[in-house]
Amino acid sequence: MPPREPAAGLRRRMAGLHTWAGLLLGWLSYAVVLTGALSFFREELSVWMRPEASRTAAPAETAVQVRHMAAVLAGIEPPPHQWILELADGRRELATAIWIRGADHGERRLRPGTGAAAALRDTRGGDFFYRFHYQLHHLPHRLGRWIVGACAMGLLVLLISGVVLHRRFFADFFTLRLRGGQRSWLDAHNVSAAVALPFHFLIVYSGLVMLMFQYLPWGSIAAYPLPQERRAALLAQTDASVPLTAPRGTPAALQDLGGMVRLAEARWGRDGVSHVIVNNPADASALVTVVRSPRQRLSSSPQYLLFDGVGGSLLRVQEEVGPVAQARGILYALHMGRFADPLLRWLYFLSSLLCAALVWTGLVLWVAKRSDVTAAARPAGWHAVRKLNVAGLAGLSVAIAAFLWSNRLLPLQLPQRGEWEVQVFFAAWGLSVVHALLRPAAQAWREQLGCAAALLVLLPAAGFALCERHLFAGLRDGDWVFVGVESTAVALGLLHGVAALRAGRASARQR
Amino acid sequence: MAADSQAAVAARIGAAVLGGYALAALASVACLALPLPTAEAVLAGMLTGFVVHALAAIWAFGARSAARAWAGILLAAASLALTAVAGGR
Repeated sequence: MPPREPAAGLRRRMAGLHTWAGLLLGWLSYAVVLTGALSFFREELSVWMRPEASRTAAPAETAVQVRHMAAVLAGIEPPPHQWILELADGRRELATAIWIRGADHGERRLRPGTGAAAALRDTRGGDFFYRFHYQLHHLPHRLGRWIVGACAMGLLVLLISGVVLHRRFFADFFTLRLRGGQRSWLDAHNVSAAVALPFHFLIVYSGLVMLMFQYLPWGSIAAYPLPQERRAALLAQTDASVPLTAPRGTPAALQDLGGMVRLAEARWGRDGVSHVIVNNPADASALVTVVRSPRQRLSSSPQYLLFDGVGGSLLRVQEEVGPVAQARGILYALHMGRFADPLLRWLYFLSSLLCAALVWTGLVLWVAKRSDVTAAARPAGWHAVRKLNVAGLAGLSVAIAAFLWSNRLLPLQLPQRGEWEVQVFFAAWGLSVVHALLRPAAQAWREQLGCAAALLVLLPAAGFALCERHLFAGLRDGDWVFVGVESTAVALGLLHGVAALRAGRASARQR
Repeated sequence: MAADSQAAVAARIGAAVLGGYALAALASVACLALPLPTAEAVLAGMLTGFVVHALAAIWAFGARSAARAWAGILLAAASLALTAVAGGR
């Protein structure tokens, strides 16, 4: 029988849980949270990474865009099973026409006004960070999501244990001793948590909710033994799409999609439509789903108009779901933040950076707390954590900056260019791991933070030299996406620079 | 945590990770007993499952001993299982 543990303090046990969970999940959590922060601006990053798409004065009329996209997709042979027509809007400069035939799929990006194919550099754009954020990379998607989901569950437990073990909640809210050392890291950790605590809980829990069909399918399996039944009943409450059915086999011309979209806009307003899905486009059984824009709504529960593709008649209006489904829809929408106007989007971004700072300060605090004792008293693995912190934290900034630079530097006609940019990201991160293991910790911090600082601060220079659209041209022409991305890079670069200088001073003191 | 034996810590981790997930799964099925349309009940089960797992993990480490931790998990599992079976569709 195991010896009885001393009955000392819930807080001591919570501290143990918090420390261990933090150490195990810290680096992965940091990567997930930081790429999540960047994902709030993924459309803007995508625009920055495809500068050839020239700015349009105003987005083209929806019906016009839809007709162009339908015309392009009608030329795909053999006929696809499904089309998805994504409209350009205030944040997306280009319209994207996607076709799907089973496991096979493709897309064309078009200038919304003319329908002409945009000749763009091959790049993942901001979508690389977005997908990494919830399914990582190099792994099968489901496995990646399992890992991120487990990490998110750990984060939820970390948040709860952190609150339970915190004693002086209100006093610590206003305490930030900046002189350096363990005390400062603790204060920074507490303040990053306290300032945005509701956000941290919300973003972690809603993130889990987005993975819930994969994570907790047991209720649905118990309630609906047949998979098709399950799909239909649940997806009707959560997905804005009609299941694809087998085509009838009779070819038929598709009705004008422009008219359907106009009907939707009459109902929902001018920017009310986000995309159109066409099932079995060349067939008599064609169905058209016109989906409402998430930018107008605080819930992602399905709202769409379903039309008969051949006749053009309105078959169904989907606008209501049950209250629990609505709650799920609201949590989903709160995580995605698609409804956010620019100010709120910036608040989302800054709060996410605070969440990233929470993880960063926690990991560094663990090392700092144990650095003042004799070498014998330090836990095993202290040196490893100290070194890997540099690569896991500062190294990610280097990798992200390298990714952005590669978009400007790689030759435009390079085959698989998009994949190469991703390789650059991982190569830079890998190099930072090697560098961190080889160099003494204090120097490694200074060098990696300094490298990230240099790459970020010089990004506008790269833009100026290698591209037609950049910060300076943007200020002159009102090209605000380019101004925003590059000036934010500079600001974050300066932050890294300050950190590099402080790391230098701290190491000088520790000698 | 240094004072707890390794076996006790391992038991708590098992309670938190495996026991917690089992409780989440049971809760998601137990929610079918709620007086809601089936699809709604299924979704409610998923939404509550994560909360149950997190609280189970906190209990697994907050309880005064590893034995109490497991006892609590098993008790909760039994009641959820009973609800799941009784209210099943």
